[in-house]
Amino acid sequence: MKINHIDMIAALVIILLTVYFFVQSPIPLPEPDAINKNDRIPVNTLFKILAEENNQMRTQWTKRIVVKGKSAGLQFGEEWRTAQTDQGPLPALFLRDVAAQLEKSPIALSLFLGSDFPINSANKFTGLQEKYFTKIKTTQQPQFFFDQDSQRYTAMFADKVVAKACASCHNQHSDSSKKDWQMQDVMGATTWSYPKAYVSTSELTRVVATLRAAFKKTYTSYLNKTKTFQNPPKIGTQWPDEGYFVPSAAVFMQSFKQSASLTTLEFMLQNKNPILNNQK
Amino acid sequence: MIKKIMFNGYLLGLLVSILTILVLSSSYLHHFRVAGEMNIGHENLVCNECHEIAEGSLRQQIQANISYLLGQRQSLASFNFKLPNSKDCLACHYRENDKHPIYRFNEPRFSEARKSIKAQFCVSCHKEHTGLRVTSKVDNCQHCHQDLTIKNDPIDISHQDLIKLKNWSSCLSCHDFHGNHIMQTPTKVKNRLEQYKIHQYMQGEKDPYSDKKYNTNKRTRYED
Repeated sequence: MKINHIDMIAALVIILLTVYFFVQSPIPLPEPDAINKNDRIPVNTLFKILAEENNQMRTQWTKRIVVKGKSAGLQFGEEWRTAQTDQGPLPALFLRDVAAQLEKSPIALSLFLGSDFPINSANKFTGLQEKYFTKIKTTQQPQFFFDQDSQRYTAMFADKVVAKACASCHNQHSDSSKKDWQMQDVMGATTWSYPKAYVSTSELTRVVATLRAAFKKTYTSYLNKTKTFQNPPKIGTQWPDEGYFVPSAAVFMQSFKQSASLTTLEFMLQNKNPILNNQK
Repeated sequence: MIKKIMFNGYLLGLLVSILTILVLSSSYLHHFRVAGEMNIGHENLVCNECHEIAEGSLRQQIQANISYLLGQRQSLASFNFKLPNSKDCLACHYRENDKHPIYRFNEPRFSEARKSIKAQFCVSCHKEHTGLRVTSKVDNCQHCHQDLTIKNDPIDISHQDLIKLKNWSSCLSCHDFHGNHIMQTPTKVKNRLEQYKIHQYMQGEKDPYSDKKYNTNKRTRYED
């Protein structure tokens, strides 16, 4: 076989490039969120953890800040973003701000709130969400599905009435299409979505940390609003059940972590996590 | 003779390729590779405000992508700059009071809006490198608000009548889409903004809604 000069030069160039890129290679670029066979956590486990964290935060915000705060003289309402009002966000609006903060973060996690009897008609479930929400109301169980259209893994979790104030506020609201809410009724659902079927442990940790950061930013936003009140509450270590006070962001988050972290850890350990299985 | 011509051809091709790469990668000649005029308000932005610089050296990036092609890596690596997405827009344009934050359109129930107008992406209405402010149509509201019902509707011609008439181009004459203008929403249809003013605004001319806004955008994503 006759080899011409051009073939020889081409072969030489390929060899040199191979040596340049792979033999004398630079440190390989780290691969963001690469999934290792031994470290694959189903996205549904991630959703369950996030939903539980969200439940803890919703309960803390509703019971310890909104309900106790109202007794102490603080106000909460739908127009809390308006400059002229001395209000804080109602629970659904607090979580809506958390959802917006998540979208600003680098991770692709989304959170939505909705209902079959929403106060704002724009939040009424339709299509797939309506179908799965009907199942939630019947079974009281979370629903998991892949939304072909958005190409996202999706989960829906029940939002129950956790305080009498939730039921009475929704029952009395002029735009409410249902006026007989009671404790433990399924008022709506949170919908979570993520683009991957599995996450690694480090990715799961980062997503949970991002959700907590979103909680903190939203609460800080409320604290900043309280500073503009005509009669600003004192920010520090005390809570509204002690008087006209609100806890600092650090105190607020510390209390949340104390109530949520153990459950989150238990969830991670209880689920069939390949990391643990491989160690058996 | 033929071999010599072939050799010279390869050599010429190599030189042209190297020269092209050098010209395009030079920071002094960036205007050669810009896709078009920057949009209103973006005139003074440098490339890496939206196109973040990709991780690693060019050598590492080539290595990573060859590894991907050989099945040794799970994802491609960006060359030179990362591909911009809506999160890059939000780095400067995030607003807590946004009436239509794009993330909400990722919810399953907004599939119609995603199919019709790709409402989940900023660039679907604000395509960059066009020299304009808004690049979408004015009647996008129809994709989500066809079933709108308002109790105690405050305007003299009801929203439902406007919807029946399919007068979707009138929405923006009273409402600004993102709700960032400090303004009084008219209660009489005759007091709405004239449509040509809305069109002019979308093209980049004077803001007809209000001079006052709730939030101002960051001048750079690197500002705290």
